[in-house]
Amino acid sequence: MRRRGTGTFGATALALFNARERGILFALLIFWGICAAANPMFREISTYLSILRESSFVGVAAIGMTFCIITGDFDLSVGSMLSLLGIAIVAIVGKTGLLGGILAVVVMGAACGMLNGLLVSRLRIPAFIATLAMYFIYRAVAYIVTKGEPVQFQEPWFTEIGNGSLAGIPTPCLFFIVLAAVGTYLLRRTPFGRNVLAVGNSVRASEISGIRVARLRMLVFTMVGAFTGIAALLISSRMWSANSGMKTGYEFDVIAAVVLGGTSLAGGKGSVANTVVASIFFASLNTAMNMFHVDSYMQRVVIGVVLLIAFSLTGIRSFVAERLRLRRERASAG
Amino acid sequence: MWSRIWERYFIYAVAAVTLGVFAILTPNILSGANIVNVLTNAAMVAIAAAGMTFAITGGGFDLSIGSTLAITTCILGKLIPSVGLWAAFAAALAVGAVLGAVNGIIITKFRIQTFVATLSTMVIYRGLALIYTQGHDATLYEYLSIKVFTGGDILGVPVPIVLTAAVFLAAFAVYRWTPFGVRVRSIGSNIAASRISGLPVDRTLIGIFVLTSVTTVLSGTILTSQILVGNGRVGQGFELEAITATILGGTSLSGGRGNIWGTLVAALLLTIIANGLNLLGLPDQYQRLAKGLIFIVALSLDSVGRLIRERRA
Repeated sequence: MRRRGTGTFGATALALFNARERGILFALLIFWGICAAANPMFREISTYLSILRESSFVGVAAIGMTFCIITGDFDLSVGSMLSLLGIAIVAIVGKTGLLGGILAVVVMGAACGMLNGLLVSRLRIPAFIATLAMYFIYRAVAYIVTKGEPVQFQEPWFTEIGNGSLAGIPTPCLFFIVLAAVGTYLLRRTPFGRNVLAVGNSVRASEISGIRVARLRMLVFTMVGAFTGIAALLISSRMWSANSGMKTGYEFDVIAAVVLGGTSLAGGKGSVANTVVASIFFASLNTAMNMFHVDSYMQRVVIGVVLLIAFSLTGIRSFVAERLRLRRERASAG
Repeated sequence: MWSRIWERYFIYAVAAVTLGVFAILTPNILSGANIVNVLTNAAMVAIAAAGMTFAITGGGFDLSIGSTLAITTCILGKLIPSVGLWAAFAAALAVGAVLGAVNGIIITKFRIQTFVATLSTMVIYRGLALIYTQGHDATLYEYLSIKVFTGGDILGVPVPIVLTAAVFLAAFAVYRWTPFGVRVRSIGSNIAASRISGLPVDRTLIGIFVLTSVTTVLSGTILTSQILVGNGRVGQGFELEAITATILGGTSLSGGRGNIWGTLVAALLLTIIANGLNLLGLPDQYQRLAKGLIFIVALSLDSVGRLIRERRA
């Protein structure tokens, strides 16, 4: 009887954690609820619009990174790439015009990403190491081409992209929404997305079933680069400038958003929608901590603890599941 | 056979060639004072990388050591004026051991991958370091007792060199000849099999992370002795330096196969590059460029060799 009791408890706990498929969304809504109850600022639509704007800067790159982590790879170079691409767009946008600039930054981002992909898939350097090397190289190149000086471009038609709004919606969000839709479509509805998930689950099985794994991984890195290009456009437009020291640690923000969204670092599993929600969650957390005047140093501790809690949920969940399975096996054996 | 030897000693060749090139470009690099300078700088990365070699051999990472380095400088900076050098040093070691144990416990009890667990504690520990000093500098300009860690010598050999030698001899002995070393390698090769065969996996993992933290405290002490400042912002990216040295030294990223002496040579190589480019008058960023390029060339040579062998077979 006692056994059965704990079993039910375990099953209930498991069901709760199963809600984790949408767990990050619940967490976000609960968090917003608490904030709204505690602070009137959190009842204003403008606060949420500003959160959405901030979330776009990390979220756009995180969409690309979601694909990369699903295939079981990693890109540590996105922060340095962002700095290089930001400098590039700020330097050329005056001559190429807006559309040309966007096109150029996406193409350059894709080229950087493809370079990463070449190292990983053709030269077979493990992704962690290859992108770690590129992490040093992109930022060094960014420094060398600018001699460490910031580059600026302050024409309103450029800065509006990061700072302006269109029909009440912050412009970066429009990019974010469109790219999230594209990402979800790619992952869920196309052969490309199916292959990405398959490779993440088992490289061997994918090879045997005829997926060209090396080409696919290279494509995914190219995609990360292209999305980072858009993020570079948004961020440098937001800051009216770019420099070789900007956004250090950006890669960790991006990876944290992807992993908080439930994409497994082991690969094979993940969702663009959850990455988007997780990016918004981080932006909300930052905004709330500023509003409640949390000491800026304490903010880091809070973010770290939130990450830890989120990550341990998976561990605890599999622990409970394993216990249940063992118990069931023992019951059926006895 | 030859490929195994190449894999193992490749980094020595790279280091020798690099040193040779710099010796031609700037003969100053071989002056006595500069050699001591290089070795002192290498000690900082090398000692922490010795710990990291255990972590990577065990199949994990420790991304939090940059923050542990910052905490070390803060503890020394804040405590030395009130309690003196050795008590402060002991406190730093104790705190380092606790931080490492926390990492290990999080990883083993909550079953989080080392990458994400130490990514979280990286953020947390840096926050703690900044809270502890309120973001200010804790300067030691009046308390030069700590200078012993860079300026002192034992029987004429500078302390950082003695420290590095001691750490690496101990690391090699532990890696090669102790049950702990065997367990680390075993866990790195196959954690599930290690668990099934009854090895104390969790305890070993906790031990690994205590080790990375404690070696980092030693590195942090040398750093504090150099800069005479405790600050919560130092050491950002230090984890990547240590990982770079470890991987470049030939420790396999997939775990199970470490190379302690390779780590030492790689740390020396990285410092020689930094020092040589410095002597040539090139800014810091060129060092990062060189570091990245060497990394890629070194590792792609390895894969190109493998590809050729596979083609032949």
